[in-house]
This record gives sequence, structure tokens and C-alpha cells, in this order.
Amino acid sequence: MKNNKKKRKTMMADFLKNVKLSRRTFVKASVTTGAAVVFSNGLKLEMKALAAGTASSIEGMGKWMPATCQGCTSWCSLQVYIIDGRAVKVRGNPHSKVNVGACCPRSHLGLQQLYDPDRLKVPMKRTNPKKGRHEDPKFVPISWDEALNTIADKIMELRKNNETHKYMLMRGRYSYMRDIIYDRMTKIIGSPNNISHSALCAEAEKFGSFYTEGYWGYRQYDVTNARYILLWGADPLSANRQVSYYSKVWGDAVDRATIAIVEPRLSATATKADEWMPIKPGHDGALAVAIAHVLLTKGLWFKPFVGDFADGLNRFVPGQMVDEETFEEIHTYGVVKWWNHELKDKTPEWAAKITGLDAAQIKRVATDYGKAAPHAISWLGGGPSMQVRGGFTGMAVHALNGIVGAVDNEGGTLLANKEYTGKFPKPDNFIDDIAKKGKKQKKIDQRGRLQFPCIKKGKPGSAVLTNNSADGIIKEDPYDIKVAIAYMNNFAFSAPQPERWEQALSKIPFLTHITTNASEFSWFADILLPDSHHMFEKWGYVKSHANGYRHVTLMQPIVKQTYDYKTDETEIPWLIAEKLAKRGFDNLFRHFKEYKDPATGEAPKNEKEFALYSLKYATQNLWDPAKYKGGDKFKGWEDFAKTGVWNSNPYPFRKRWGKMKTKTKKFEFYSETLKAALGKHAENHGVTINEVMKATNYLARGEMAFIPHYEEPFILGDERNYPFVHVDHKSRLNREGRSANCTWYYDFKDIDPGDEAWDDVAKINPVDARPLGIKSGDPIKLVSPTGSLSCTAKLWEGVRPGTVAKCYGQGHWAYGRLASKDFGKVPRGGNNNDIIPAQYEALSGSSAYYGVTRVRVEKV
Amino acid sequence: MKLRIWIGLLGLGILLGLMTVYRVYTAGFVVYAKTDVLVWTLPLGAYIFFSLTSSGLAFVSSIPIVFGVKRYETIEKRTIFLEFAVLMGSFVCLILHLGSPLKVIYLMLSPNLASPLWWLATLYTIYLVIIVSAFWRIHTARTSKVLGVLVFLIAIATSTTLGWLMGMTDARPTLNASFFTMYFPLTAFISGLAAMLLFSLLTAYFSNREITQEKNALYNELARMLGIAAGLVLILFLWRSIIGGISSTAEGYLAFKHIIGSIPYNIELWLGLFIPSILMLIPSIRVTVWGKVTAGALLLIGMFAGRLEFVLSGVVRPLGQMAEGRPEFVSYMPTISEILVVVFGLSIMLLIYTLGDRFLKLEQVPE
Amino acid sequence: MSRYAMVIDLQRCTGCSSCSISCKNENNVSDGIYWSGKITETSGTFPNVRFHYIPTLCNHCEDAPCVRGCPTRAMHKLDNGITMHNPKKCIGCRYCMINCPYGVIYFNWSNPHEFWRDKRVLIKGGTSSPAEETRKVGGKEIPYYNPEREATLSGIRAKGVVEKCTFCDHRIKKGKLPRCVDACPADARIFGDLDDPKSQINKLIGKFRPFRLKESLGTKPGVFYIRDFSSAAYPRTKGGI
Repeated sequence: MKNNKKKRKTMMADFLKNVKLSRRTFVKASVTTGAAVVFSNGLKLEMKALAAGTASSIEGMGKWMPATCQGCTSWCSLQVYIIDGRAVKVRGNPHSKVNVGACCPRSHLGLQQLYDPDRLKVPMKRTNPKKGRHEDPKFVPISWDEALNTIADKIMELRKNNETHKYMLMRGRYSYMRDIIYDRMTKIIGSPNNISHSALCAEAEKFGSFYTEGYWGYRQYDVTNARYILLWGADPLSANRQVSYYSKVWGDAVDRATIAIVEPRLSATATKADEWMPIKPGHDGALAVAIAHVLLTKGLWFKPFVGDFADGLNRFVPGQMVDEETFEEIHTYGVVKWWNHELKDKTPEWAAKITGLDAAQIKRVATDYGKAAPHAISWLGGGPSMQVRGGFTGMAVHALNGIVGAVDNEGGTLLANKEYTGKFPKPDNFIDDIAKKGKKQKKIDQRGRLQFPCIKKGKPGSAVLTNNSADGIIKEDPYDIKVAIAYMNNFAFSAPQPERWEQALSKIPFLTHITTNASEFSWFADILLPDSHHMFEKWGYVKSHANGYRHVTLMQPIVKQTYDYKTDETEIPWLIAEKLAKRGFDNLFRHFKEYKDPATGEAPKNEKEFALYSLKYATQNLWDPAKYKGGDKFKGWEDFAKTGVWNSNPYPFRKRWGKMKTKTKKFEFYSETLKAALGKHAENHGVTINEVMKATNYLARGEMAFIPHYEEPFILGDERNYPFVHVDHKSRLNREGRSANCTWYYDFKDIDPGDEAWDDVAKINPVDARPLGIKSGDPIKLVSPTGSLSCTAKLWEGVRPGTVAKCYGQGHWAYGRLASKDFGKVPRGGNNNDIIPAQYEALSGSSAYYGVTRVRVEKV
Repeated sequence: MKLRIWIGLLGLGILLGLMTVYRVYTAGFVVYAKTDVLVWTLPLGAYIFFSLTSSGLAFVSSIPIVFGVKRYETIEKRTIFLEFAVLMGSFVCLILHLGSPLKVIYLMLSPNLASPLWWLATLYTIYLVIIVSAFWRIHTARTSKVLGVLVFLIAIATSTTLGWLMGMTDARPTLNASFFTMYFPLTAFISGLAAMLLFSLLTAYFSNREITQEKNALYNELARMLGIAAGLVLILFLWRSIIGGISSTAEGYLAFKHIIGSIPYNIELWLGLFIPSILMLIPSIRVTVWGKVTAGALLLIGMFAGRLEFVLSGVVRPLGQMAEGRPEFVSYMPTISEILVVVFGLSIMLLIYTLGDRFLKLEQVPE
Repeated sequence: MSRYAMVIDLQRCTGCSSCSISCKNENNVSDGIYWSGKITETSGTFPNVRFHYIPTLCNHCEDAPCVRGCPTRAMHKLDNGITMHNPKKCIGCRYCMINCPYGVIYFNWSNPHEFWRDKRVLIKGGTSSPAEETRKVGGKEIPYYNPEREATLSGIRAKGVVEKCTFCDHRIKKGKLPRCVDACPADARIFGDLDDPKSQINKLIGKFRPFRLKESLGTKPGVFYIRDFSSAAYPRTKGGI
């Protein structure tokens, strides 16, 4: 009670101080502008940007300033309401043609991230030399100068010893300013080891479209013109991608299209679908080929795209081979091969047995889907593809678009529009001999080895194998890592089997983490650098596409920074470059000097100018009227910055028919492109493609390796000990696992169907829970062959019997006071990655998250 | 010595109460069994219990004046004082129920005549003024017919208005609301009788006062009245259960099923109504002091539980968006602070009564 | 005079709660209090299951039981049909909460925004405390405090009084739509004047058969719902025996 009284008293005092302080900081800010030499210019620039934004839209006490949300990879263009330099609310940027003024629920949580009390406010260093999960790092504050000097010293040591390859850069959430720190800095220092988080994200999803239509990227879907939307483990109303846009138009899509969703759990999108197909996890491929089977046997393929039998007679009869010569294909390649090798026996009845779905439903969905051709979308999400054998499933699912002619068509699946951002200056002239030698070393993630083809865009060994880097580091295979810098990533939380990362990071002698919060990853760091928040405090840009447009949306420092945060991708590399230059290695610094302001031709003088100039440099084609190439037109940089977003020209439909970036220039049902890629990989290792298939855990042999087909899923754990298949999913409020320290996250957690506010639940079908004596609200443990987590049971009809669905996002043991139950010690809720084994879709390098493990439920 | 211990105990109760007051107004109402659904809980139940008991005492005290039964004049002064003491106890509970008690001034500045709650507050204020005046009259050895009648009328008004308060809540069919306009005055009456008997007999016992023949006869008469009235209320109570349980809407039915299984309901039924009426209808028990004391005490305990049950029955079933993420019925367990609120109210009431008994000549009979 | 009302198109609604989060933001509402909320239901058994979602808020009833019962007229009707609350007059009796059939009135059991009152620091010298953060940023009790709310109501309501949705009367006064309407990414909320025959809401009310919550109670809610949250198609059938 005494404490309480004291608390009230001091609160009162604080409040009074507050009133005074806010005034004083105002004055101080303006004084600094004049006084401090180094920062003065930068600050002025910032002020100029603020002023430029001022005109945008004034309303009430504040003004709306343009911003970009990176809560997920939708990358919506937003506006933030600023009162006295303080962010108060957010809304969609009405100028964007991609998210068309809409913003999804998670965008609002950005405010709570920005003003998270547990954000790092100063650089810190570790004082406990022992590293480990149960070792308190004992961080103490240090100056930026000390932090940067230490980092520069460590890099110089590598340079001195000719082992620059033992430098490693790990990337998490990024903007397109990434190349500065990720590519240029790593190269000029002299290391091959720039490891992005991409393979934790969705690379396998891109695999499906690349080996059919030659497009390595996220698709956009023309939902408002579609007559049928068939979703596969995609939940566009809640997670990734273009949640804002799809939320905006879904009500209209529902009016015009039949919507079917393949998903073992009743997802947000499933709640508004006509057909829910609660498939057994991992068997999506069977359903996809059965649908293809129906489409062909019923003659529902889109003839202007695929072609037809020369005599118009449909020879696709179940069980019967077809002579390739009888079919005249137009914009596709290998439809008969696909039929003969895979589809001819794949009847709905066959699929019904495998998938646990109703044969009548499969037939109905397939037929209606075909009848809607060509305005019939087959929408591949992460679910079916981010699996150990998900590569071919992804192809099969995406290939349906080819059959119905939805590719590049109205009401179909589209790729990204053209945009005209430019590249940063080339680093080549600054890569010295030490660096060249270092760069030639093998990468730490072991990509390209026989069992890890990692074929991005047809090039073996080109895709990142994020999660395997941990094993590379632990086993020092190919070598040990001595100095690492990581930014806005949290592999010790976000990667499956995170305990491997705990071990790996403990092994790195010098690790710097650039982060907003002291996360699980930070726990193992030697230096922590407080990062600026992408949405409110950073210069940068990202591009994304939906609605038939692509936008390039700007991130700008639009709030008064509470503390001296610095930007990960620009300011910090500059500052490190400065320090390296002082130590006699000025290549990086000289390179950065080339990022001149296109408007004045001036080279940057400090990190703030560098951040701004590099952005202006990269986006010049968009805002400089002299360089105009297309899309929205601006009068100049100020005009662009004020609007905050550039929109492309509208989508040119059917322009790629016959000009696809595949080997055959056609949509491939028999992938010559994959054949070539696998061939190259096999050749690299002097083996056959069959041996590659075997090494990568695939069952396909011979021609099957180039054909979209069904394979029995690879799921860890035996059914007797682990009776349920684990279903992972994402939340509407997840900001990529970074919203767990926001109160709103918990206060609204129940907007994910089946979930509960202020809790982390595993959803179990009542049929499964009853025999176990488990009731809603019981504390339980989920145990997989590789780990376990604690959470709460929730009996729910919206989950397939035999599966346990749990949302990703909670289970932090660090990150903040709310994210963890006891900071550094006890997690709040359970982290799905603790039970997901480190398995890969090896052809793309993706980590497998779905249909990859079985679990058992234990009552606690 | 005994008195000192007694006053000490009450002092402790008040001290704990004051600590609770501090907790409530610093930490907030989280010290209560806080959920957005259980908006009315033990403190309000205790308030209703005390205020209705006070009204019931008013019925008893107005017997000699309103019904002209002269022999009841011997207990009039004590009963009126008890009314006052109990009312003070109820105010304590009410104040600790209100979120912002200091703002009650707005009852005068911004009255809403359509609100039963406004009327209730107003009537209780008037009631307080009247009983203080009535007591003053008796204390100064005068009687006032007008005041006596007013006490009676206001007792009817307060106890039925409390029923109106519930009668208006269409949102809460579980309150079975209109029933209470009748049930409240009746149960108030038996509570008043029970309290009167209990306090008179215990006071006599502890102060070693001889109970006169005349008074004893009076007490027995009151006890018989209590038995009959409690029996009648029991019948009413059962009909309420039957009607609520069988003939009402599904919503009401479910809620009723829930209530019938609850502890307070069964305490009210068995301890509060059934046993006391049986005890008081058996002449051999009725004439004993312990019989009357037991019956009175049980009835008051039962009524207390009943008031709590009544309050809870209105709120255990979450409505509208409040039902999100909650079970169909939420459970309730009073917190220590809530219990201390009741202890506080009770201590204040007992202290006032004790002091009154000591200094205000409660045995005095008006001329 | 206007009579403000809202139409919620359940088909457009995706159940994302942007309305509720932005409402909390606009009105500086504490955790656990929902001026804008929802009623959800999972119906059926696997695999014939659906999840339904109805966004809820104060219905601004024409015949509001909360207003009738309030002893101090803290809860009152404005001329424009809005059911408004004045925390200055609120004695905290919670009778309005008993009277409201929709469960949309909340009581401030404790000090608002407890999370932000915390003065503890996670990493000494390296991070701040919620209270310090708010002070540094220049907010009031919360760093992202919206001072515009103060125009017609306490910016943050104190312990001991109730609070609820005001249809963003402070925004309406300035000719702006309620925040939930503005923030709905799906444009599922349509706001307007019932007394204006040409208003969009009247067009929709006329076009569909709207329903309101618990109409049988006669409260005449000002929030109308049209269409279905899950308006799924199904194969034609006459059933069977």
C-alpha cells in the first residue's frame, strides 16, 4: 500500500515533468539543428521532408503523412496521422492503386511497435562472455561510437587475416535499400555469406509458378473479374499478401465468383467461402491432379490457350493413354504428357480416399472451376508448397491455371507489373583482392550441395537455404563464422528448430544484432544496435502488386525519434564504412560516396544524407520527369515524397501468352525448364537426376521429375506416438512474429477464427479431444519428434479431426515484457517452431512449415 | 470487559473496512471480482439486504401507530433505532458499490425522473430524514402520528421501488423482474421481524436484562407472525421457482436452472425460509429464546444469501458482445475486498446499534 | 435535425476487427474495453462448419434503456440521435450496463491503461519503461494518445465511470465519418442520416431487409445489418427422407 501511494506521488510528479519536458524537447530539437555540425544537414533534410509532407492532407490537429507498412509482405502504402511529431493513427494511402486506401487490422499495431517501451534506446554490449539460452547476456549501454569502433575492429581483423569470408550478414525484414548492407557491403568486405530470411518465407511458392510459367515471384489475382476462386492454403483475408486489397474487394468477389478453399482449418477466408475443403494436410497434390483429371476428361480446358485435339474429339478418357500427336497445343506445352504420366488414373474417387474429402465435392469443385474458365483462379498459398515434397504440389496447383487459361488473363493469375526503380552503383571497382578471394568461398548455408539444389530461377545453388546456415555454423562446414551482423531478423524464434540457432549463435565469437527489440536472437549478440522503425523512422522503398497494378511505396522518417535509433540498411553501413575508412580500409566508404543526390549531384556527407540520397538515387526514374518511363508522373522528388507512392501502368493482359520465360516460351505442364535446371544440378555433382530426386527426399523418378504430380507427404513422427498432424497458420495481427509485445495483439487475438483473446490456443476437434479428456481452457503440451511447446487447449469444430491447428506468433521468451512471460526465461504461449523440425523443400531451399510433423497432445 | 472486546472487534471490522476503502479508491474496483459481466456483486447484494431489512424494521416499528396496536410501543424506539443503524450499514455498502460516489451530487443537479434508481436514491434520503426525526421525537418522549405513517409509507415506497428498479430491466429476463415489487416488501417485512427479534433478545441476553412477561408475550406474538409470514414467502418463493423454471422462455429457463443449483439459492430456500418457518410454527420451540434467536438468525442469513442470489441472477449470463469468449454462465466467487465491504457495513451498523443501546435508552416507551 | 445511423454490410465484412482496433486508437480506449466489438459463432459440426461474425457497437437506440435508467442523465440522447455519455455526471452505478441488452457499455474497474503506467525497465539503461516512453513521446497516458477525442469527452475516462461508443461524435462535428467507418478496409460500414431520404443508408435499408439486434425489445437500434457474413452457395436439393 505504501508503494502504491509512492507510485501515485511519483506519477503526479512525472506528469508535471512531462508537461515541461515536451516543451523543452521542442526547443532543444531546433537548437541542435543549428549547433551540432555532423547532424545538422541531415536533420534539415528530415525537416524538409516533414515540410514536404505537410501539404498532403491537413485535418484537425495533425496531418496525414505517407508511410509504408511492412507488417507482412503485402507492403501497403499507408498514411500516418502526426500530431507534433507524434504518430497517432494510421490509414491506407488513398493514392495507392494497389491497396486502394485500405489498410488491414495489423497496420494499426505499428503504433504500438513504434512506441514499444521495450525498444532498445541505445547501443548495448554484452558483458557476460558466456553465451547460451540460459546465460543472461548482461547487456550494458554503450555509445554509438564505441559500438561502431568495435564492429570495425572486428571486420578489420578478418581483413588482416585474409578470412573475410568468415564475415556473415543475416537479413530479416528488408526494404529495397537492402542491397547496400546485404549485397554491396558484404561483397566489398569480401564475403559470400549474405543470408536472407527468404527461405523461411515462401520460396517454394515461387517454385510452382516458375517451373510452369517462368515467373519467380508472388502472383496477383484478378479476383474482381474472377468467376471461380480456388484457394490452396492461402488466407488472403488474414495473412500475406495484399490483405488490405483483398479485404477491400472480397465482398464483391463473393458476389461474382464461387469461392472454394482447400485448408485443414476453417481459416478467415474459409469463413466466407462457398466450399470448404478440409483436406488431410500434405495431400493437396492429389486433389490438384484429380481436379486436372476432371477438367480434361470433361473437356473443360480453355481451348484458346491450351489448344484442342485436331479432330475436336476428347480422348482424355480415364485410364487411357493419349497419342501426343493428336493434340494441337497453342500456348501450353506437354498437356498430353502430363495426362499420360500422371493424370489419367487420378480420378476424384482416388483423390477422395487420399485427401479425406468427399468425391462429390471434388467433382463439383473441379467442374464448376472448369466452367468458369478462363476466369478461374487456382491460388497457391504457402500451405501446400512449403512442405518437404511441396515443390511438385506447387506446380500441380499452379498448373490448373494453365488448363483453364487463367494465366495472364482477366479474372486469373497475374504477375507483377513493370516498375522502373534503378539499381545502386556497382561495387566491382571497390572489391579488392582480399575480398575477391573471400567472396569465392562456399556459402555457409551449404546451398548447391547434392541434397540442397536450391534452384532459384533455374540456377542451381542460387537460392538461400536460410535455416541450414545454423547447421553450417555449428558444424563449421564449410568453415567457421567469426563476425556476423544481422538485422531485423530473429532466426532463433522464426526458424524451425530454433535451438539449433541458439547453438549456432552461441558459437559466433562476435555477433552484432541490429534490432528494435531485444529478441531471442539478440540474446546471443555481443553488440545490439537500436534500429529505426521501418514505418515511421526510415528512408526506404518497397514494391508490391495487386489490383492489376504495382506500386512503389516510400518509407520516410515522419515522426520525432524518441531515441537515437539508426537505420539498418543505410545509416549503419555508412557509419561502419566511415570507421573502416579510418582504419585504412576505405573501399566501402568510397563506394558509398557514389550514391549522389540525383537532384544536385552532391555526394553524401553523413549517414542521414546517405540514407536519403541512396533512396532518391534508386527511385529517380519514378520522380524525375526527365527520366519518366511510365506509370504515375511526378513533378520531382518533393512531389513524390509528399504522395508517398508511385503506381505502375495497368496490367497488360495476355501479353505473355507464347512469350513466357520458360524453355519452351509456353506454359509448361511438362517442365523443360525444371528438366534443364535439375540436369544442371545433377551435372554439377556428376549424378543422375534420379539421384538428385532421391537426395532431396522426392519420390519422383524418370519423367515424373519434370511433371506436376502428387507425392505422399513426408511427415515426421509415427502415428502411434504422434497421432495428430500439426497445422501451423498465421494471424491477422501477426506483424511477422513482431507484434507479441503489443497489447492490441492480445486484446484482439480472437479475430482469428477459433482463437482466444489473451491466450495462445491449440485448436483440437472435439472428436479428438474427448477421448483424451481435454477440455477448452486446459493447459496442454504439444510434443513433436523434435520438440515441445506449452499452450492452451481449445475444442473447435473448425479443425479437421486428426490435426491440431495452432497459430504462429506467440511463445517468445524474450522480445519484451508482454511477449514473454518472464523476460529471458519463460515464454508466453508456445512457439510453433519449437515443434517444427528443420526440414526443407530442397529444390527451392524453403523451410518446410506445413504438413511436416506429427504431434501428440499432453495434458499438463 | 465484554463490551470492550465487542467494541474492539467492531473497531477492527471498521479498520479493515477503511483499508478496503483505500484499496478500492486507489487500485480500483479490480479488487472486486472484476469482470465486465459481473457488474453487480456482493457489495450491492449486501446493500439490498441491509436496506430491505431496514424497510422491514420500519414496517414493524410503524405497527403501533399505523395499525394502532398500542402494546407494540414498547419496542418502537429500539426498532426505529435499529432501522437507522441498518440503513447506515446499507449506505456503506452502497457507497463502496458506486464507482464515483462523490458525484452523487448530480442526483440533485441533473435528476432523471424516469430512472427508478434516481427515485430510490431520493426515497432513501427522505427515509433517512424521516427515521431520524421519528427517532428524535420518541427520544424526546413524544410521538408523532404523521411521522409514523410516513415511515410506513416510505418503507413501502423504498422496498417496492427496488422492485421497479429490476422490473425495468427488459434486457435481463433472468431477473424475473416484476415479481420483485411484491417479493421485496414481503421479505423486507420478515427480515425486519427477524432482525427485531434477534437484536432485542440478544441485547437483553448480553446486557443481562430481564425480559418482562409482557415483552415475552410480545416477542412470541412476533415470532408467530414471523413463522406465518416466512411460510407465505416460502410459498411465493416456490411459485417463483416453478414459474421461472417451467413456464418461461428458454432463456429464462436456462438461467433458472443455473440459479436453482446455486448455493445462495439453496441457502435462501432452506436456511432462510423453510427452517425458520417450521421452527416458528412449532409452539414449543417458538416460546424459547434460542428458538427465536435461531430462527431470526437463520432467516437473516437466508435473506442475505437471497439478495446475493438475486443480484447474481441478473448478471451471470453475459449479454450481447460481452458474451464473446465467455461461457454461457460466468461463475462468481467473492473476493476478500468484497467480503470486507460487507464486514465494514455490518460493523458500522453494529457499532451504531451498540452505542445507541448504551446511551440512548432504547427501552424507553413514548408517552 | 439529423438522426445518425449505421448500416453494416455483413457480406462485405471480413471479420478483421479493423473497426475495433481503430476505434480503440481513436478514442484512447483501455485494454479489455471494446466500444466496438463483435459477436461470433461457430455453427455446425465438422466438416459442415461455418464461422459467423457480427460486428457490434453501441446501437444508439432511439428508445435507449440505458438512458432511461441513468439516475443522473450522464447517459443521454443528443439531438442528432447519438446516445452520449458524460463521465462527469457518472456515479458509476452500472445500472446502464444492467439495462443495455447489447453488452456494449463498459465500466472502468481500474485506472485506465495500466500497461502504460508501469515504471519498470526491462534492460537497465537500454530500454525505457512504458511510463517513460509516454512521457518522452509526449503523449498522455499512452504514447499514441489522440487529443482530438477531448473535443466532446474526456480524452481518457477515469476509473469508476462507464464508457461506450459515441458514434465518434467529435468527428461528426467536424464533418468526418466515425473512425470505424473510415478505417473499415472492406467498406462494410455505411454511415448517414436516417432523416435524409436520399442518404446512402436509407437507400440500403430500402434495398435489403435489414435486421437489428434484439428488435423485440423495442429499443429501436440505430445500427442496421444487411446481407450475410457467410453467403455461401450450395448445391440445389430438396433434401430427403
